[in-house]
Amino acid sequence: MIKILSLKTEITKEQRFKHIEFPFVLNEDYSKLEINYHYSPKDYLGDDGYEMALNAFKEAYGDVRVEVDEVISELPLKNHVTLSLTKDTRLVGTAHRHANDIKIIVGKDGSTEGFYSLDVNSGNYAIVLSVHAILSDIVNAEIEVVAYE
Amino acid sequence: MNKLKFELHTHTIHSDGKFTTKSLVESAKKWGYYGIALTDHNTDSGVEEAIEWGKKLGVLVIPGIEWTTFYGHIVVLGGNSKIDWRTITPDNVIEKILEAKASGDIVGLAHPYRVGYPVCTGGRNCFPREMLQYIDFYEAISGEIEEPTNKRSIKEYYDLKNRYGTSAVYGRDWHSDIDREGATYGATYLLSEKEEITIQEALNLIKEGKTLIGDRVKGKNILEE
Repeated sequence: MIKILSLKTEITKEQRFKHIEFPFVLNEDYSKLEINYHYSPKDYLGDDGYEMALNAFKEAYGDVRVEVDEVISELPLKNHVTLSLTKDTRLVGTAHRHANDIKIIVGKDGSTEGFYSLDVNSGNYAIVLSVHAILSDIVNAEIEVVAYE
Repeated sequence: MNKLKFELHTHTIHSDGKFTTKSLVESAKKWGYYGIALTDHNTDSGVEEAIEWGKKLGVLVIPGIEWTTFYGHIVVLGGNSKIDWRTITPDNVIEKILEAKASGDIVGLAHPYRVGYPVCTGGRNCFPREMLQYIDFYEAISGEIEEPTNKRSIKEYYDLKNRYGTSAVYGRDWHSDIDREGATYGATYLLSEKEEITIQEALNLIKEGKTLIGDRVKGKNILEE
C-alpha cells in the first residue's frame, strides 16, 4: 500500500459551478486505488437560508403561491461537491451522492458504484471536485488516494 | 395498438438512488412496467448489471444517463455516446446534444421547472432556450403529477410540440420504492403495434412521439394531446 495523494483544500463561493482538478501520476501498475473524500460543512445554517430557498421556489413556481412548509422542508440547504476520477482525460466515474464522507475503490476486479472497473496502470490521473452548490463562505475538503499492489 | 408502460427516469446506488440495480428492476416488475431507462446522475456504471437483471426478470432496460450539470439536467438514452458530463456548458450544450444524437442516442430535458439552485442545482433548466429545439423528448410531467411546476412544463411542451414535434414523456425521477402518501404518479406509455419491442424500437417510438403520459396504475391519459 502506498499513499499517492493527500491534501486539504478550501472551496470558496467563487468556485461555484467550477470543476477543480487535482492531478496525480502513477509511475507503476497497481491492483486498485482507494479514494477517501470528506468535506464539511454539509449543512448551511445561515439566516438567509429560508430566503434563498423561497426565491428558488418562486422562480420555479411562477404565478403559483409558495407554501411556507414546502420551503421549510428543504432546509437546511446543503453544500454539494461531487467527486469524479479521470484517467488520461477519460472519465472513470462520478460519485454523485449527497453524503460528504465517501470511500471509493477502483480496480480491475470491481469498483464502487458510479465507477467503471479499471486496470490501474501507470499514467496520468486526476481527482476532480465539481462544485454544484456552495453556500458557506468556505467548505473544507480532504482527499486521500492510496494505491494497492 | 399496445400501450407498453415505461419509467424513463430512474436512479440507483450508482448515483444517489436507494435502489440497487436488482431492486429497481424488481420494483419495475412489481408495478407492471414493460421497461425502464436507467439514468443515474453522471454515470452509466450500473447499466450492464441492470440489463442483466432485466433479462432475468422480464423488464426491458434502456441504457441511459442523466447529465446532471450545473445548468440543467439532460437525459440521454441509448448508451452509445460517452460524453463526459463535466465538459457540458451553456455555450456548448447544443453541440453536445447533437454529438449524442449522432451516435444514435436520443436526448431529452428532465424536470424543466423543478426548484433550482440552491435547493437542487440545475433542477430548473437554465440552459439557453435555443437548446430546446434540438431535444427529442421533454418531461412534460415530472415526479408527483400535482406538482405546481408541471403546469409550466406542460404549457411549454405544447409549444415545443407545435414548433419542433418534440415528444412528451413522464419522468418519475424514481430514487426509491417509497411513494409519498397521497401523491399520484404517472408513467410513459409507448404506443406500439408490436406486443414486444427491443431497446432500439423503444427509442424509435419515443423519438417519433408515439408516447402517451398516463396514470401509473390504470394508464388513463393525463395529458391532452
